[in-house]
Amino acid sequence: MVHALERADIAVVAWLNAWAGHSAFVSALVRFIAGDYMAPVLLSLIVLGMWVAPRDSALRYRYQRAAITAVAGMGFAALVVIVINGEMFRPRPFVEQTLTLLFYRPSDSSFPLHAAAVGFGLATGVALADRRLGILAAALAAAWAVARVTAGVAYPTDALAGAAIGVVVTLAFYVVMLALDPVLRYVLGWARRLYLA
Amino acid sequence: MVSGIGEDYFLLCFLSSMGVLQIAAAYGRLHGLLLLRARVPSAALGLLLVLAGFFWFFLPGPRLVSDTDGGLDGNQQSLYFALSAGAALAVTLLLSSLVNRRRFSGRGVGSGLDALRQATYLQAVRGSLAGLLGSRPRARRVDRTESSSLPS
Repeated sequence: MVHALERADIAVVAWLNAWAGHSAFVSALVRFIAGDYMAPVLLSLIVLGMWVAPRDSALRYRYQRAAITAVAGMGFAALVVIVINGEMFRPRPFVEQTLTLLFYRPSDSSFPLHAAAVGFGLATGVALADRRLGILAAALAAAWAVARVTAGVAYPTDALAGAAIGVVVTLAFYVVMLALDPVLRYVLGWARRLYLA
Repeated sequence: MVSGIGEDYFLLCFLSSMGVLQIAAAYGRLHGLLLLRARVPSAALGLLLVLAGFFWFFLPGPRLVSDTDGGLDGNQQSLYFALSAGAALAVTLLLSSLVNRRRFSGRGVGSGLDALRQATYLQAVRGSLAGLLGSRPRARRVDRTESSSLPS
């Protein structure tokens, strides 16, 4: 089972990487999306917009709670990835396979994919308040993860594991936030007094 | 010390955050936060700011730099984004308060962000302070076309 999964991992990375390598345009697009800056900034901007855009105070409270959940979920998901990275090391695909590297050479563990945990952590938080925005954010997070796989710096199972961590940790944090609702209302009440929430 | 890519990243986040605040304020009908008088031009300005930020940052290329070679690690990115978004918010609150200072009465401003539908940020804060001190802020000229259709 594990060997079959590893073979599938290698085959998918090799196929995607070869496909991207055939076209200069696709290669450039993959490098652009896979980078450290575009996807996380866009996802963060969605969260920022959620803070201000709702048109009534009840909806705004729901969106602001989701925005806080998204940011905290992302942070804790990143922390979980760091802990797992410290316990186990999986070499990056470009180290083990013959691939066209479309990224710089990361030296940390491939499993689980940090970018997927961060991306899906934020996207899950967004989806808790707004399904359409959540789908957009999830598509962005998925594109980021697929681009990392295509670039030859992560296996598909790394991306899936990272995404699962992002979703689960953010949902867990959401449950905590529901339990801490009076505290959150108190904090946001102060922000409302300052006209910031 | 902020590196070259750090400065560019800060500017990307600052411009795009200002842009998103304009788009969100236009969508949420927070007229007191707009930098232009009408919602659609403000949203267009916001989109332009977002595009300008990304264009500025990615003009040199995809910026594939490891954090061990001068790039930003995750913590730095989060910190810079928070700082630049905070700066963008502060600049937006000040600029919109200046631009719209003659537009609203500054009275009956409500609470939270909803207050910024019919007051600027500085008017809302001044109203709060005046309420605390037991006096009302002096009325200014009211833009009746804007304020008459807004919820109380």
